[in-house]
Amino acid sequence: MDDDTMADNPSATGRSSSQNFKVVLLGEGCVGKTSLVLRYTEDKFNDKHVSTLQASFVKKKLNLNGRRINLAIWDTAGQERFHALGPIYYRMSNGAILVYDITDEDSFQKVKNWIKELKKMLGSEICLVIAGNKIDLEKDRTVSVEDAENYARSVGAVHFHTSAKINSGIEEIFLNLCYLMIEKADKQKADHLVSLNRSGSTRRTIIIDDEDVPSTEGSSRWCCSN
Amino acid sequence: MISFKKGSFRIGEAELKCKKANGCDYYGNPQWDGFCSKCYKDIQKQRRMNASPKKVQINKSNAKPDFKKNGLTEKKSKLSYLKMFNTIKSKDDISEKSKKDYDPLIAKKLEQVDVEYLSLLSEPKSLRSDLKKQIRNFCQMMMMSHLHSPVDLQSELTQHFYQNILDMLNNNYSYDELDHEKKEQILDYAEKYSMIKLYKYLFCMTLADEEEDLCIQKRIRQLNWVNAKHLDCDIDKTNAQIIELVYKAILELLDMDSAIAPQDKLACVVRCCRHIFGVLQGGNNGVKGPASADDFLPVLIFVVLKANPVRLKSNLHYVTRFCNASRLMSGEAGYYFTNLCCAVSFIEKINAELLSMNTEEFEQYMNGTLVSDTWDSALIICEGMHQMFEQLALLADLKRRNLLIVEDAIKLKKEMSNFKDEFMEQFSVLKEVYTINDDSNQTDTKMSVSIDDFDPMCSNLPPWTMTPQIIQPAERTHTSSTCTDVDSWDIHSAETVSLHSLDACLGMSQEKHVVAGSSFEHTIKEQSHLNEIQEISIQGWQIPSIPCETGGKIITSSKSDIQ
Repeated sequence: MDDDTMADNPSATGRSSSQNFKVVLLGEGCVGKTSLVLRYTEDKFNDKHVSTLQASFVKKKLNLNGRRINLAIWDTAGQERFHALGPIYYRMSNGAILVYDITDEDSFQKVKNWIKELKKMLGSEICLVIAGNKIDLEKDRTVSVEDAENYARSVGAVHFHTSAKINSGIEEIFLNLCYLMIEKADKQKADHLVSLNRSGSTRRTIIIDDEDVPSTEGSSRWCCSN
Repeated sequence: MISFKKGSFRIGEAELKCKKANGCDYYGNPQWDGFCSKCYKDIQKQRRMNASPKKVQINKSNAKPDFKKNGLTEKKSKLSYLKMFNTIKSKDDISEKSKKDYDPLIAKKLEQVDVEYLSLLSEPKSLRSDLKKQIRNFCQMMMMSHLHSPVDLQSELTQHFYQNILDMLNNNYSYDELDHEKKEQILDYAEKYSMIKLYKYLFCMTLADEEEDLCIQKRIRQLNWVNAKHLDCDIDKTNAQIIELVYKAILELLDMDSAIAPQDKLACVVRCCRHIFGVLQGGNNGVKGPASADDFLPVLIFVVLKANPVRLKSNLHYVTRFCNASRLMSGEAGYYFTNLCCAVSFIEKINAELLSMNTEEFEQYMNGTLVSDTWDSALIICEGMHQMFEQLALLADLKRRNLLIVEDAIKLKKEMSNFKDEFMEQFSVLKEVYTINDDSNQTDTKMSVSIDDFDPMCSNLPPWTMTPQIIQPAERTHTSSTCTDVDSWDIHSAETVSLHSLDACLGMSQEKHVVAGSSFEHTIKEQSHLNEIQEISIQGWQIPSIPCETGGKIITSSKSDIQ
C-alpha cells in the first residue's frame, strides 16, 4: 500500500501544479554570485543590456523529467558586515549555492563558515552545492582543487567548477542542485506520508479507544454474560 | 489501544456478530454499538424519531459531547443541527459585534475588496458561499480568541486557515476547472478579506510590539548621522532623478503603515525596493548592469534609516505572522520583505565595526557630540544649500506671480464694481422711463389689481373708464393697445365669455369688490339701456376681464424690463 501511494503521489497530488524551490546564493562580495545568476537566467555576462533591473531575486522555470520546477534564486549580500543576517535569508530554503573565488583563499574560508552555520541552523534539510567560480583565471588559483573537493565531500556537498565569464559549469550546478532538491523533497514527502499513515492508524485506534470507553459497561456485561 | 487489540484476539465469532437479538447473521461493528450497519440504522432511526422534538432545544454545549459518543449516521444529523446552531449563534455574534465595533472605514475597505474580486468569485457558484463561510468562521474564532491566546498560536491558526482554503480548492471537484493562478487569487482574497476584518485585533496587539516599535524608532533617530558613505552605498547625490527615486522609496516605505492587508503592506515594500533598484541603475537611463544584493541591501538600509517608518516592527511582525507563509517564503515580495527584515536587524545591531569606523568615533556620533563633519556631509550640506537657493528662487518667482495675480484681481474687482454702478445707473434710468409708461397705462393696471385689492385709489377710476360713451367700431382698436388681440377673437364667443364671467363675478364678489361691483352694475345698466348691445357687451367684457390679462401682461413686461 505504501508503494502504491508512493507511485501515486507524484502524478496525483502532484503535481499538476509545480514544485517551488528556494535557493540562496551565499558567498563573499565580489566572488561572482550575481554573474552566476545572470549567466544562468539570461545567458549574459557583464552585459549592460540585461532586461532585468536586478539580479538579486530571479525566478527560473524548469521542466525535469516531466516535473515542473519553479526555482526562486535569492541573492544575498555577501559583505562581511552583513554576515550575521544570513539566517534570515536562508530560513526555509531548499538549497544553497556557496560560491567562492578560486583565486581568493579567504572566500573559500567564508564558505566553510557558512556551511558550518547552515548545518547548525538547518541540519540536513538543505541541499548544498559549492561553486569554485572564476576558473577562467585558473593561472591565479590559490584554492587547490583537492582541498575544495575533499572539504565538499566531508560536509556532504557537491563541488563544481564554474565560470560565469566563459559559461562553464553553470547549467550543471543548477541542474544538479535541482535533482538533489527533488530527491530530498520526495524523501521528505515519503517520510511525511509514513508519518501520516502512522498518525492515520493512530487516529483509527483512537476511535477504537473512544468506542472502548463508553462500551466498557457493555463489554463487561458481555463478559459476564459469557 | 493495545489492550483492546489483545482482547480482540480472544473474541469469538459470536461476539463479533450483530448484537441484535436473534435473526441477524451479519457482523457487528463496535463503531455502531456492536450492531451491523442495517440494524444500527434502524435503531438510530427509531431513536431519532423519539428524540427529535427535544433535540431542537439542545444548545451547543450539550450537543457536542453527545455527538462525540454517537455513531456515523447520528453524526450527520447532529452536524446539521450543529450547523444550524452555529449559524444562529454566528448571526447573533456578528450583529452584536457589528454593533459594538462597527468601523465604517473597515466596512468600506471590505466592500472594496469584494468589488475587486467580484469577477473572480463568480465562477463556480458554490465558491462564494464556501469561502464566505470559511472566512466568517475563522474571523469569529480569531475575534473570540484574540485576547487570551498567544500570538504564535494565532499566527498558526491563520496559516492553518490558509492551508484549509487551499485544500478546499485543491480537493473539491467543483473547483477542478480553476487553474493554479485563479486559486492563488482566491487565496489572496481570503487573506485580504479576513485580515482587513481582523486588523485591529491582530496588528500591534501586544505591549512588547509597541515597545519594540519605540525602541527601533529611537535607535534610528540616534543613527540619523549615518550617511550613504558609511554604508558603502552607491547613491549619486548629484543626480536629481536619483534623489527623486530615493524619496519615492522612502515614501513607499512610510506608506506601509497605512496599508491594512498583509499583501498590501508587502506591495508597498515591493514598490519601495523597485525604486531602490531604480536608484542602483542610475535613474531612468540606466547605465549600470542589474543590481545585486551586495548593492541593494546597503541602499535599503539607508532608506530605512532615512524613512524611520512608524510602527516598523509591528508591521514586520504582522506580516510575518499573518501573511500567507508560502508567499513570504518564495515570492519576490517575500524576498524584498526578507531584505527589509535584514535591514532592520542590521540597524538594531549597528556598531562601530559594522560601519567600519573606530568605536570612539561611533560613540561620539551616537552621543551627538560629533556631528557629521566629513567631506561627504559637507557635500550634502552644499547640496542642501544649492537646493535651498533653487527653491528660494522658485519662491521669489512664485511671489512675483502671486503679486501680479493680486493686482489683476484688484483691477478686476474695480471693474466689476464700476460695471455694477453703471449698470445700476442705467437700470434706474430705464426704471424711471418705464414707471412713467406704467403711469400712462395706469387705468388698465390699476383696474386689474383693483379686482383683488382694496386700493382706495381705484375708487375714482371706474367712473373715468365707465363714462358712457358710444364707441365707434372703428375706434375700438384705438382705445387701448391691449385690445388688439381681443379683436381677433370671435365677437360672439367673446360676448358669451364676458357674460359668463360677469355672472360668475357678480355672484361671487358683489359685496366684496365694491369698486368692481359698481362697475358691473354700470355695465348691467348699460346693457339694459343701450341699443347697441354688441358694442356695450364688448365694453362690459373689456372691463372686468381684459384688464385681468393686460394687467398681467404689463406686470410681466415690466418684470422683463427690470431683468
